[in-house]
Amino acid sequence: MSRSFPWNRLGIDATSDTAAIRKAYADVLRATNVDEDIAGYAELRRARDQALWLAAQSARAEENDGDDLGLGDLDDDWDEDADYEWDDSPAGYHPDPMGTTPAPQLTESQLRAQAAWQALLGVLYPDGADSDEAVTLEELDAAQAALGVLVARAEEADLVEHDALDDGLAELFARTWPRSAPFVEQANAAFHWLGEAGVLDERPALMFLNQRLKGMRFHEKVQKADHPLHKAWAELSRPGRAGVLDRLKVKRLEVHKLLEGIRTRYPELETYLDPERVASWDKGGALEGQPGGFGPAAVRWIVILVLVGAALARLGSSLSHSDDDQGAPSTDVVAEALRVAQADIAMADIFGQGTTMAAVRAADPALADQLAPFAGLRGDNAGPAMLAFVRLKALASANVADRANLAVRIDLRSLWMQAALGQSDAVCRKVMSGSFADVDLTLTDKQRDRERALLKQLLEAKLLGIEAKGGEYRYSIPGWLVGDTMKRSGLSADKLTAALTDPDSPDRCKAEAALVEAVRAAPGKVPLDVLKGV
Amino acid sequence: MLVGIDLGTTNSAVALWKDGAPQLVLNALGKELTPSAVSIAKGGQTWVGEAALDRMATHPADTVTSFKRMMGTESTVTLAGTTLTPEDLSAMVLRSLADDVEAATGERPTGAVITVPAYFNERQRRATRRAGEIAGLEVKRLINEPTAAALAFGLTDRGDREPFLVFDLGGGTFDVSIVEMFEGIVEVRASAGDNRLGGDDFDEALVKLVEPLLGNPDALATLPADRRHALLTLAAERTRRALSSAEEADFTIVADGTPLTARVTTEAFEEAAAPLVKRLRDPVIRALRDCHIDVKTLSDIVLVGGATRMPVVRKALTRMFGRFPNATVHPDHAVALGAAIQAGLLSGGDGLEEIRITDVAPFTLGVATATRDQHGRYHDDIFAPIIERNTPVPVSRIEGFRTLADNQRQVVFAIYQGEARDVKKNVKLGELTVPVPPRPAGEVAVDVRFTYDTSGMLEVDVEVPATGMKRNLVIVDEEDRRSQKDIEGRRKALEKLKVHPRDEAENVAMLARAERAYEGFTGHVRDVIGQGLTEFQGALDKQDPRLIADAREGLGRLLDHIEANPPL
Repeated sequence: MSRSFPWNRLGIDATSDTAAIRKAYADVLRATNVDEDIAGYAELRRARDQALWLAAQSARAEENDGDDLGLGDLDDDWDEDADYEWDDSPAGYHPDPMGTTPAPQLTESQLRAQAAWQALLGVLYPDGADSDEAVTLEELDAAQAALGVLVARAEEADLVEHDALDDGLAELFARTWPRSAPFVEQANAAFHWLGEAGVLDERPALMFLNQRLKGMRFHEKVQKADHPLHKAWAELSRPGRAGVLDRLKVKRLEVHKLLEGIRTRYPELETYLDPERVASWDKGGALEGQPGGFGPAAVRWIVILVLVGAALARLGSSLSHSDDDQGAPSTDVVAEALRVAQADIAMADIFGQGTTMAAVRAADPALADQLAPFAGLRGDNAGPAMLAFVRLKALASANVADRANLAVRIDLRSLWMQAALGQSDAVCRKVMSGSFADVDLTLTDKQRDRERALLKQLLEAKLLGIEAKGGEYRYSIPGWLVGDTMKRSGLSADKLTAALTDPDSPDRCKAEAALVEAVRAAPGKVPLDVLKGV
Repeated sequence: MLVGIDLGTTNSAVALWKDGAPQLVLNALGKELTPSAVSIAKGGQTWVGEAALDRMATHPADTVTSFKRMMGTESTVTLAGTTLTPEDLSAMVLRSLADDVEAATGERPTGAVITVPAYFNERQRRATRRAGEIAGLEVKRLINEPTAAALAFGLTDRGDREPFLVFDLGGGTFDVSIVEMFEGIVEVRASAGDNRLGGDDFDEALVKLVEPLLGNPDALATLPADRRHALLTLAAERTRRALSSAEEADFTIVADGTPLTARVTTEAFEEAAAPLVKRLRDPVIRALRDCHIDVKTLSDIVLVGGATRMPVVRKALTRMFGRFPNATVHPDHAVALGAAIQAGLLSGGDGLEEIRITDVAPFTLGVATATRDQHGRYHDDIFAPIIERNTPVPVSRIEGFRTLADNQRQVVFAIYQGEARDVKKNVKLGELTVPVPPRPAGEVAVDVRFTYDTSGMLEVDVEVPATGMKRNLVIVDEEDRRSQKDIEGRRKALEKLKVHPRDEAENVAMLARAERAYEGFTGHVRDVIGQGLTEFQGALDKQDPRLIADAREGLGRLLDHIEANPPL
């Protein structure tokens, strides 16, 4: 016995008897433990649905072959419905969409609704055609009254008719935009269109209308003085070019945020702005192409201030202190040889096998000079001190490094942060501030190897010997990067801002580590100032 | 023993499968319904059910109702210095129901089938499960309330039924399910709902309507806010019930000895409730659309839930469907009876061998993704559905994703439940991170499998075929592991509260009721109630069971009489 799907799954021969199909399905289902055979259950459902569909198909074929029961006409009706496309007959509203009531039996209120629908069509399609003209006052009154009748009808209608009105009006308004603009709020109040905004299966017409509705609301709000972007809006709607004084009065960032937002979300609002004014702002350093931009993403920009020189200064003072401790360098030849050997071992430890002090001097004499005093440190102290110093110099290389080397530096930071994070919060905080000298950062052999390779790259680029400048460094993290950092750290926007700006925040390490990873994930996209600052 | 429990916003009920039929278990007061109310006095004295509800008017700060609406949230309630989670409060109601079963059958139930609104999300379901465990019940299954009601409705004659719609409007939640029955299979085709809509909201609308009409606003203003709110809500509920059988009703409260009253007509109430009634429509449309069933072909509209008694709701339904709904099932009992049928099914009860239930996932489940548009702009927090809502459960689906950045080291999957394109508007259920080999963007594929079982538990598996790396997350387990320890702790903490012995329940309830009535009336009537109360207390002091029973009956008759013929 060989049956094909779906019949083999149901264990019956092909049939158009729906009762037999359901019974077969029920029997197989009872014999199945659905929780243990999830795939089998899905297949069984599919078999049942397909069998029922086949049965319906063959029943329809039989009916069409036999007496004409009027079903053919019905099919024609459906086809006609399907043809209601964007052309001549815009959106349909039938008071009785199922066609179960003969026309004369429509209630009085349904007839009124039908007349109102025609009136609304008349206003939205003046002379039976599309129009971009705004409605006149009389037209406004007439259409609002008609819409009022339709809304009232929808309130008392059954589900099917309510649905038809809801769909019909949405389609009609979407097609006749912007002429339909004055009526959308009224319809939204009755059908809660905005409630559907952003839902996965939002109707296409509503997707369009809801965006316009939000635009109208934004337009209303932005004109009030307490709106955060009000100043930018007022500036952009003033006629004429923006002068130097104007530019001082308004924050550039806000103006660009507003422009970008309007262009991506509510392009229709740009007509309210003065074109010349907009053009003059556009020229003055646009943020064009900046990822993220408007709305929640842009609101989350975080401005960060770091003190670059602090750790360097500390290291310097501890070094001179050790110098005093040590007294005058020994002139003993044996001691000198030992010192050279010690330095070579330290360099190999820092930059990898084969790198001697001589090699370092060849690559970057400035660094070699700076490292020389360390060699005088007693015994085991020299190696770790040099490593701490080189690490710090690597961090400080941001000032002068190009993008490629900044990426190397970020890789190093990531390596250190991840290792420190695994150790303890205290270690992590030290690593963050560059205080490598007084912390025991434990790296695995693999991590050490990677560190050596990265440090060597910086060494060869002569970036480690450059005199580091101290002072304040300010940079802002763009919204999209904040978003990514939030995702990686699992911190909320507020917590993240606190963590990145407040040194005492408990989440500081987590946030910084996440930021480093976020920067690493998109090195080409991150603004240079962020790349240097992180 | 396995019982079926309807853990409702306003009332709860328990039933069991016995002698081939579901049967409700009566509480200590001989009633089928136990109000979902808890009251705690200083010193830990605790009331649950009817007595607690009566204390709402007299001790609003110590009493809480409608805590089902807080399930799955972080909110807590502090009653007389004891801080309780919604799970704790639900557990207290569940324990009182278990006590009733033990008293009726001599056997303590060990497991339960508990009903939840179909539109409860994952977190709310988890909270319900925890409540059961705190109450010492193994929760064998959570079953959707409209599904339970459909079972109770459909199994009366066991015949086949074309798709029908269950319209379940309870005290705090609203569900719609479309169910079909054939050959002993109960098949839920689609569910939709609003878990923030119920009878409570109609009470609130009534309070808003009446408050400005009550006159003498000063008397109302003298009351502390919580007491004013409690009195108004209780009066609203009474008025709403009265309006179910009359064209108009008096809204009456006594504020500090001053009676305040306002007359409410059906018309005025309907107008006040119109915005709520409108919200009933959307879930119905969504459920019908999801299963492609034409409203005209529905074989029945079955009403469940106490709030469907309201004429304003029935009127709206009649208008929506163009016909009268079916009110044959008991709106307050059907869900508990259905839960008992499910309990019978799970324990292999007699006469249920042929029955199978299949349900659907009420929400869309998926992960957060990011993408770049053609301008190279980066858009994150986009919801990528994996299991669409109203898919039959159990179900297992796999979806492939790709890395977005060059040399990306890991992929983070945040798991969400909901219907919004922007994940921030959905409910986050958990997160899973999987390391990937560093390659150019888009070159590493990651497979995500979602498995959703019949109890509504979601399991997520992530696999990176390139490395064979696998990660697994059982959403329910994650939270449960954390809470497994404190479930025991919560149970112990709740046991410290002194619940009245069961044989005192009637007396306790009568005292609470009489005290509420004393507060609720003025003048002569208040004196009469005061006298009755004193007599009853005297009888209680004498500790003579016969004397107590007589006094209780007398007082009960007095209160019945007064409440049936209010003097105002």
